[in-house]
Amino acid sequence: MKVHIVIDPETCVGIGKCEEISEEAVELGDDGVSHVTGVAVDIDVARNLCDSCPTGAISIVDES
Amino acid sequence: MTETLDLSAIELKDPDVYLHGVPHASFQLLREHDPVHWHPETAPDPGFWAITKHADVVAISKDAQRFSSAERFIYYEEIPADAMEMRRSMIETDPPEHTRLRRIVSPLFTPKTVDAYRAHTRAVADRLLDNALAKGEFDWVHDICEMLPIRVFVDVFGAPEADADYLAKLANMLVAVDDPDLAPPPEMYERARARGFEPHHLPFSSPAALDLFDYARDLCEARRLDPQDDLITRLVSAEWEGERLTDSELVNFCQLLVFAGNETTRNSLATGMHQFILQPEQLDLLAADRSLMKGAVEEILRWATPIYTFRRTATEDVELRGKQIKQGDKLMMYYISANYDEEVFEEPQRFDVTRDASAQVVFGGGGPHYCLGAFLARMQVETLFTAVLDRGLRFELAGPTARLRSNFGNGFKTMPVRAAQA
Repeated sequence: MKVHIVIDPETCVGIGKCEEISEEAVELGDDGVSHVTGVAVDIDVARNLCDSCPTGAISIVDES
Repeated sequence: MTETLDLSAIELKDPDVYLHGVPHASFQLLREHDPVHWHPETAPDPGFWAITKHADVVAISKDAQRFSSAERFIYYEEIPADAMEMRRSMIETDPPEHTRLRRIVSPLFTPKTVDAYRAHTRAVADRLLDNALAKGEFDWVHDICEMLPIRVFVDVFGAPEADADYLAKLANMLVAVDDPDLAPPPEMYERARARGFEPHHLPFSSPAALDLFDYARDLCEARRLDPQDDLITRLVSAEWEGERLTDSELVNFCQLLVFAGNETTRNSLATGMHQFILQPEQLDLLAADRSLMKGAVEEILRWATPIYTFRRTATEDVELRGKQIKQGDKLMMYYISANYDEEVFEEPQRFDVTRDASAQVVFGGGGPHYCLGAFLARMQVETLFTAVLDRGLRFELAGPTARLRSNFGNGFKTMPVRAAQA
């Protein structure tokens, strides 16, 4: 199953772990904030992204 | 069992306690019997809560709202009110101020960016190993650990490589104020006083910070005139709603990065090698299966835990494991204890490169202050030990080692070694 993620722009400090896990889903900007690309990813990848973010800034939006 | 356990004698702040090794027995007792432990201090210092469980270190790290880094800074030391603004760097801020500062430098430290420094790091590691091995016996701390991270760092930072040794020396004198062998000489204190700075006005209460500030100021000025693709240029050109970083923000930022980019990694590289000397079969495991390397890096870091502890200050009353923590109370989060918590790491006193040590809190327990240099540090540990393996090297001690006298930095100041047969 493919899902979308969101990144809380207030919480993200641009660590970049997410970009390492999935460049398809996330891109770190020169503004020091991770941005979602809008591409849906496998639920396992999405869960890994959520769990791996040291600041807990990532969540899944459309798990169903 | 009717025997009562007296935990009041446990001492965690005295630097002498760490001189001959980590006081693991004390931490183990606290984890088991009093994981949120009131530890007195000598007046006028207020005393603190010693936080020793992994889960609590993580929870406190992630809750920057209730556990502040900005309010009373992050060390044992009580910072006088008149020195706070002079000494404050990013690490002593809370969101949203922290977020603003962090995002200026974040793009230079992501896993993807750090990858670009890998080849340079390997070249430096090879050069250092060549030079050291040519001597026969050498000091792993001085000839390798002290040299490598600072040379990688100056490349990111934008300082000339010729200045690396000078910056490493200053970084040492920041952290080693409690070690008579490494502390700044008296004339440095006198020079600072002549300029109107008492030690407590300066980061780590070390006059070496003043020299670092001077160095940073000159480098910032050079990049304002001639921008480059480096960290210093990012700092001097960063804008937030039309405002640039102030002089104090700039020089403290540089001081923080020079310290953090050097001392922590060098101590991890030293402790890692020490373990491989004591247990060469662990290096043999890596040699036989290089796919273990990523996991081994996590275990080396867990074992090394180069920073024992950072402080937080409660911004409101909080109950933790039945203890009533009052607003304004000081909490010391012991990463060194969390990384040996039996509840998270099976047989924590066993160094084992095959274990999953990814839950280690060497880079903090998460939250906004998660170590900026986490991936740069991992890359250097991986690169150096890969270089050692590629050469089929094993080492043995060629004399007694000496540990740093510090209640903050976990490291060696000397480790004489010679190459041994693999």
